[in-house]
Amino acid sequence: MFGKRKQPGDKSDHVLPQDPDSRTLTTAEVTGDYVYVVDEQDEVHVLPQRNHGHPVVLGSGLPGLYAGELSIDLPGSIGEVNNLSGSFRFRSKRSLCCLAERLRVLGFRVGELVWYPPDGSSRPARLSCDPMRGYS
Amino acid sequence: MKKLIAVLEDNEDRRAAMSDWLRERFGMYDHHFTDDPYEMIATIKTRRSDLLVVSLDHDLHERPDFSTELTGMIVAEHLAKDSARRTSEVRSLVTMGIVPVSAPPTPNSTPFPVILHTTNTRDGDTMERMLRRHGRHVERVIPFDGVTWVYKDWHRALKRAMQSNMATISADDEPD
Repeated sequence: MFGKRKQPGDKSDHVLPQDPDSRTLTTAEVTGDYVYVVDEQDEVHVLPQRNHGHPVVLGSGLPGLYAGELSIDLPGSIGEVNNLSGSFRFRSKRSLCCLAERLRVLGFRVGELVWYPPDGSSRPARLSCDPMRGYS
Repeated sequence: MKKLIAVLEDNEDRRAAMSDWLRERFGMYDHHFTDDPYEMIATIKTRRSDLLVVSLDHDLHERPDFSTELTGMIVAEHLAKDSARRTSEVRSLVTMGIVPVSAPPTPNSTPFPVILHTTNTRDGDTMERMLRRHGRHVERVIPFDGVTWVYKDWHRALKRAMQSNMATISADDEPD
């Protein structure tokens, strides 16, 4: 399961509406770099990579369960997914594993999970999830 | 101590875009900007063990003094000489038997990666060759289209650089 929900950190972002380009992620999504937010129903929403993108993926200050970036190398194949979001700043490693399971359920092949330390004390690291544990 | 991303850049628009982007996406790390190659070298010397990545422009003509003498090449040359000196020191220690041949790398012995973000292809190529010859991971980015490249190519280069020699950690080493 994902951890506690969070709103975008900057209150001035709470008035921003959802971006018209934001959509629910499916395996039909085209190759490219995206920002994502997981909503409270565990749906993954994406927006093509852009400056200050995370607050407008769901919009209106709606809370998310996790957020970061993902890259689609080929339709149905995610090269990298991470927790980079200055607006949400999620820190849980297990939630990143939970997201990977969610993406697999959606039909994606998932490449590397990259975790960035929220306190900036170290380099990013490749995340290893225990396949026997079950994170969802 | 937070890790550090250091940038050598003279153009105000680029600095603003890079700084905004770093604050938004890499706000957990320290950021240092300068248009002075000697200040960059001083930062490298004082915070070597904290450095995650250094991003270097070559031409710095937009400095207040319009200098054509000060360039990113000065920093690349420093890094190359520094790498050569460190390699020589390690060889001496191995020869004297103080360090075993198979000693694992330490955070200070693994050189931090460098991004070259310059439109000066000829001098950028020279910097790249010089740095690679001394074992450094190098990424190249060609600035284009105003500052759009910052959010696209430079961001991807930053991630590739930071993820070079990336360690693997378990998701289950955090408390429930």
